[in-house]
Amino acid sequence: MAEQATGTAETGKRQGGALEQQDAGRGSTSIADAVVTKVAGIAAREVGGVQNLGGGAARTIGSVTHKVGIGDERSQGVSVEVGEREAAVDLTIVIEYGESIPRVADAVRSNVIERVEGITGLSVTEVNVAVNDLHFPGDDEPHEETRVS
Amino acid sequence: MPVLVPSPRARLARVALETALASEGVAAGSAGNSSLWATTDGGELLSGVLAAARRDGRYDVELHLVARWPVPPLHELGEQIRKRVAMAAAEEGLGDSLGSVRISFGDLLGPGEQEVAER
Repeated sequence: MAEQATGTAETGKRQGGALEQQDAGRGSTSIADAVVTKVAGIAAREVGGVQNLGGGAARTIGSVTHKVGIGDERSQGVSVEVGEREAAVDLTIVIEYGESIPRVADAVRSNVIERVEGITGLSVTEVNVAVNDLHFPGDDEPHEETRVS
Repeated sequence: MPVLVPSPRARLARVALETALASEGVAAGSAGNSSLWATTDGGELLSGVLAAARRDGRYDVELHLVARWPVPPLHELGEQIRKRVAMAAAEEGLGDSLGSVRISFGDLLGPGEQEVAER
């Protein structure tokens, strides 16, 4: 850590998978990529019409790992590439049936940019949204099959 | 029974961690995978803080923190914590012992998440 530097100029750099901002002489603040990933995931879920994140396999595995306490649904379906000052985000989402997919995708894009830029100070260059599935209200109800009528 | 006098290093670590944890947007300290980021103070393990001596007699402090949603801009939060740690250290008479304060946000506790997974 540079201790003898003077002045107040701040610089951004990558350090061990985290964005680090150096405040010369007094220390630094770093943000792990996992934090950027979670911010993006939470921001996407904040948008009305988004039912879930992740592909089918990711959602299945995510629900199991979450139940046993080792998974983190908030990172599911989110991939980020973080540079020194910029980030690119890839999202896989499930949308409620009936919603306008372009409208929801645009809203997701806007909210993710707003949150990631606001919280981490990174500039978001792109948010790629892949709609993986549609969700119907009856999807969550257990299907009871009777063998006799 | 000898009375244990906390070293300036341990006192600084405690002051820094308690100051950070009192900040809005901070959920916990994280000791890391191998509990590397921790300090023992009077038999108590302070998770998420490490203080290390420098040649000039000061101690550099590292804070490894878990943020909590809704979270403010993290670089501003880090700067606020750094200033508060400096003030708290000065109030404890440790101002001359404090070197740099390095802050790392390694995880984020989202809405509804109650417990911090130990890493």
